[in-house]
Amino acid sequence: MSTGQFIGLTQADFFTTTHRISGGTQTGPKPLSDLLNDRTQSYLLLFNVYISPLDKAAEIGAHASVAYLSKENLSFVIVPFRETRAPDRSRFAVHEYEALATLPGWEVRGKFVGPHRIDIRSFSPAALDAFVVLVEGGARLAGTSDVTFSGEAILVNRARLESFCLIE
Amino acid sequence: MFKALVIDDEASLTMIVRRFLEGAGFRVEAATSGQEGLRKAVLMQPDVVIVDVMMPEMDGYEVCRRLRKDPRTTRATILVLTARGQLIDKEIALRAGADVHVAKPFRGKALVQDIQQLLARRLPLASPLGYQVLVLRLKEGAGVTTLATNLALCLAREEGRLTVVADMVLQGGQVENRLGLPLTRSWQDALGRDAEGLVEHLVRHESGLFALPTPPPKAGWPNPALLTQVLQTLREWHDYVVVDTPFNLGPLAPVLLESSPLVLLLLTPDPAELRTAHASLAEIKKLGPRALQIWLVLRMIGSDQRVRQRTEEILGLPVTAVLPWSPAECAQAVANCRPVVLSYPESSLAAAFRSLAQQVVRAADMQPLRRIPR
Repeated sequence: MSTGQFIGLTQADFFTTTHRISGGTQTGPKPLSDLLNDRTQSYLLLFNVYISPLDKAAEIGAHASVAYLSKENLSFVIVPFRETRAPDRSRFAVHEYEALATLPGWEVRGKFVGPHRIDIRSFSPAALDAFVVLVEGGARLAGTSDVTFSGEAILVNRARLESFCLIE
Repeated sequence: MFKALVIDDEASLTMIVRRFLEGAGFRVEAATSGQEGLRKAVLMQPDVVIVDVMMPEMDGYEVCRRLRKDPRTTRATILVLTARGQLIDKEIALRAGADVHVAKPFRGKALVQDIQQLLARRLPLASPLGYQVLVLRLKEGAGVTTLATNLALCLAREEGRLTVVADMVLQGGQVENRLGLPLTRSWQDALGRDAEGLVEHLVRHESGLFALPTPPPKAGWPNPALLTQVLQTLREWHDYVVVDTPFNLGPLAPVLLESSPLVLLLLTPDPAELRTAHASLAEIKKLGPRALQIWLVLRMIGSDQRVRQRTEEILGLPVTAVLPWSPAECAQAVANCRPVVLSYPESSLAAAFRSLAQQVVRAADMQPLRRIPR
């Protein structure tokens, strides 16, 4: 039995331009990406929350039993396991691209799985999904070479994208 | 049966871990906070501690640091459980003293297998009582503190034994200086009449070696009864107790010698010193236990075997170790507060300390268990 499944919470690391916020959110049977992409709700409720400033990202700066998290201000979210609703499950998702995204203060790399023919303009904030999923990815704090974070899936906020590149 | 302590503020997680561990034959205790966990760890002396990082008031990293700082709990294998599974989280957990960092969600069976593998790799405990080595000098400035700290470091680092170096040089604070430890209050002033609270005075060096430092005391010689208790407690907590002694043992002599199965006598081959040594040996044998072993440690320039033979003839004992004369390395090690075995690990002097530590371990392993009444 996995403890994550038992508790029914999805644990994740939420990153803004200044902080790392770790906690669990009640997702039920859905993947976290569904909650993030739900445009009818602007926030997430996090439980057992630990907050660290990015310059001391492994140290626990503050703890709260519950917290409100604004989705709009998130840069990206790292989940330790592959999102079950990732595009690789789609029948159109047949090609794997190396992707590089830059966001304020961050550089995120990972694999984007999508159709063979893809219009790069579809990554604009106006797209249906607010967050784009990169798998087997890593995020690096811009300006530092040694602070990196990685996970099975990185959900990047399209509204915070400065640039998004696909490398064949 | 292995003993496990689970420290987590989340009851559901504790229940899961407990179920898996008990299923594998562990005796399990649980604590819901870091403070409670530390108290229980001292009482139950667990083989393994499973601690959650994210707990209010005292986080799991601080629990790890405190477990490692206390010789009563420092041997425990520590697993840190955390929802934070990034590389920097692992690094900080290992730096805090954890053996393993496990990211949630985890699988119970895999967790138990990891714990069993870690426990199988541990060194077996030596004896219920630690082995005490007294390091003696016959003149001031002979290098006894250098010998004591380097020997203790080799026992802790190279041999992987839980070791404390106890500074009995009352006028000095010598051990702190050699190891670069902060000067603390004198243990004998602070302890009063008994050894209760001794753990507060132990300092853990970055190498894992514990030290009982003794800065200049207010009250002169410690009470012999208190010293007996202090040494007994140190032997209960550690595999090895290396005692750095002053030139003049004064009223401490009977207590120090009675409780030590091994004395290292540091000498130079100076004729006057050898004559003094001859007289001192008789006194040491008189005060020490019947099975007392006295090892001569010769500090000399060059490697003239005739000097060694002459020393052995005069004193009627074999020379166990020869420490090569290395004034430059020793002076630099003192100046940098980093003993020779750490500063110059490739040097012949460091090799001599390592070899001596190996001989001490062999002697201790041959020693029948000794219980010295309080």
